Amino acid sequence: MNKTEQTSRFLRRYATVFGYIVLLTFFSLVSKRFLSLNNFITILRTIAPLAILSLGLTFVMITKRTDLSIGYSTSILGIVVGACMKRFGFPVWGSVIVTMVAGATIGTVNGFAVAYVGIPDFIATLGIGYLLGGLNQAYTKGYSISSFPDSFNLFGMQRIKGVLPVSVIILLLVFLVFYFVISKTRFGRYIYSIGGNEEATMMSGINVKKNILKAYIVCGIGAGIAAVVMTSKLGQANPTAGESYLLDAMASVYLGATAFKDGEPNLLGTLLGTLIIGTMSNGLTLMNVPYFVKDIATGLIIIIAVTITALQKMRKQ
Amino acid sequence: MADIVNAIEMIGVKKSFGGLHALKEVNFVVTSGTCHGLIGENGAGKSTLMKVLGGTVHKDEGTVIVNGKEVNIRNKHMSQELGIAFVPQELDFISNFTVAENIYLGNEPLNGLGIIDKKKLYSDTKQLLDELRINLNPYKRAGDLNVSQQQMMIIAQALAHNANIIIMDEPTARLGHEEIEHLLSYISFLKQAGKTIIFISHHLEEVKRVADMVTVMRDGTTILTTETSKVSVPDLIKAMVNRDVSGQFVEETGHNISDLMLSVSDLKLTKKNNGISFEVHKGEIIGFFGLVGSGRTEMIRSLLKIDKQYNSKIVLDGKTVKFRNYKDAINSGIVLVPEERRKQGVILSSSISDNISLGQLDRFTRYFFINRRKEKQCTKCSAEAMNIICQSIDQKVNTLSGGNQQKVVLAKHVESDIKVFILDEPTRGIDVGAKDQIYSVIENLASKNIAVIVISSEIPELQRLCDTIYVMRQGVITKRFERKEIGNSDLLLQCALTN
Repeated sequence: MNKTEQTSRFLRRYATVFGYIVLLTFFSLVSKRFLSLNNFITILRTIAPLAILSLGLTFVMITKRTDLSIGYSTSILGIVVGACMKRFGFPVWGSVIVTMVAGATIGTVNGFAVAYVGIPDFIATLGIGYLLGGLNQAYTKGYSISSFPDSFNLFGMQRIKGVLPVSVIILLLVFLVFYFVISKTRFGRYIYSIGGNEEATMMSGINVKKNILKAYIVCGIGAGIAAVVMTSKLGQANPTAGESYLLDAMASVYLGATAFKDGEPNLLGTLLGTLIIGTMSNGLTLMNVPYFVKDIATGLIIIIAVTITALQKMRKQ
Repeated sequence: MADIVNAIEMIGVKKSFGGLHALKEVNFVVTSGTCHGLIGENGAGKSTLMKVLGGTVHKDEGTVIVNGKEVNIRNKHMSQELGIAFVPQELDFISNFTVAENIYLGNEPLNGLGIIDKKKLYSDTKQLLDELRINLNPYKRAGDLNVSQQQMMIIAQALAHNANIIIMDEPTARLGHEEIEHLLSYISFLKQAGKTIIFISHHLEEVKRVADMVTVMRDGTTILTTETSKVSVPDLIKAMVNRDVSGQFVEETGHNISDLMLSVSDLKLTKKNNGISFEVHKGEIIGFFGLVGSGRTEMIRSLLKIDKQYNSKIVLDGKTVKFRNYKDAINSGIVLVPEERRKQGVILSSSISDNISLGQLDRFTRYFFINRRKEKQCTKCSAEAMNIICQSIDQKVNTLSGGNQQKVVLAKHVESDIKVFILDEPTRGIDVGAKDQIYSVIENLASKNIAVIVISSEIPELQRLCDTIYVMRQGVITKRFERKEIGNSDLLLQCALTN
């Protein structure tokens, strides 16, 4: 490989990282309160539920599929953890485990519908999402569940030594476990090869359906963990708390796909994607701009990042 | 207007990508109203040269003259304006549009209100197809046509846009015998109509038959341009590869055949079809010949449980087996190198190493984790054993030529414990030099006491490799040829064509 090719490959892979650095520099210049360890930890703490959810979604999106039910699943899983503690009197740890199992179950249903029944992923997960949203409303009648045991504050509120939030540690643990799964196990290799060429993967004797199902289960478990952190952070289980996460999570994975791996979704990229979205939101709030500027700015950033990638691909051909 | 003698003149054309000289010095002249063959190994620069004419690659140096005018073709649109049309190997069209809608796509006749005039669209198409002597129904959905008909539709589309130079890239690669005959005679008709054709093909016999002139490319230069009638096929091959291809015309191979490995009886492709029965021994290579659509690929897919299987009896290495799915078949030692390499064989966006190890990761996995070092060692060995030409095994497969990609597909299986190796069209679209290497890989497999099954549309290929050839037609075996009889190409062809 010659020098110009190497440079262009480097640019292609790290352009989004540079973009993030530019964003950090910009906010540091315009807002005095932005550049501090404390604020950075606040950003991490804010994005923790979204990031965990997005990391799970990355598995599904690597297979060139998507999961439109994640917003509704995060909401209903928040209700699950709240109801377990308040209405069924489960201990905190038991409730958390039940929530993760419930997440895995939602993932199984999604994965089964997509991989085994063969319903297109968009429609299947959209339908299941609506179903979950409806069940959620039927159960809660639209009311939140609140006043949880104090020990439940651990996941979203508490900080170790008063500095490092537990939610950020959970995020890092999820990232590390997922990262190992993707880079070191057969399952990780298989989902990338399914995304690259499904038929060739099948012809190599790999059970494509089973691996797609597994990807959806991982996504569901991610939603379960995200729901626990989110509910603990909010101090209440709100029946619609997770809905806004769907678009943010998809945006994070798409943004992440522009970095590190030549257009394929990847975990490190997804983390960067959520950081960009979280930082934008934080920085603009500190600048005291009206709330709708955030959406406009996020939209622009997504379009710019994806446009640059598309242009690079075009030039490569 | 005076007669223009040359449709295309490319003089001293050069092109490099980064440091790589794709075209070093190309002189390529095509006379108007002739068919001009363009041959060369994969990577010789044929595609790049044609892309210069298509406007998707821009030359660095040199002159391009089209129909007597010097031009600098900057994009596809300009190329079309100059009357240059392409019939690519993988045809581009909209499968749920009708033939007429495809032919006039972007050029639809409109009525006074600016709405597509359907009546005129179909009557124009009918008239055009009649003029062109193409037998197609304008109302038929393009996706319902067979490959040959789709190709004719693309040709009609080109001619509807007033193309006078038609570039065909491997047009016969996916056609059956009868269809090839039809295409070749249609090319003669186009020549009579004053069109110029550039015919790119690996099938030198076809080039010799249809082309007036032939140009050989090698390593980004045009090596030889001559009248086709004045040159023999072996000479062309020699010019292409710059070496004698030893095995090309070997007649006798003589494999060391021992015990029965696989016997299949009464395999049915559909409920009402007669069953297919055949057997293959250890160290034997058997071939399946038949026209496109004769059921060869379907038979193998059904055997391996990729597609539905009706009751059949399979005995593998002395044991009766029943596969539940394809993975089962693989686990019992039967592997298939599929027909469509890019679609079914390799993952283009993955590295050579990842492709090779994909189906055998179990071997490198302990406690859920893949041992990357062990994996890399093994894939490196396999890649070397297959003689894959690459800078590193971490290179992505889409950077390799067709022949090398096929070697990657073969390398996926060389290390595993195989009993039966099945190859479906192993050398389609692969140049002569790489073909030879793939033949020696196949021979090598047989010498390791593996039973080999080759499916092919190329009679010489089967004659060279096989001990026994089965001919298929309409989903059943029509004849079995023993070693001593397989030299008779005409008879093979006859069995494939008629009962």
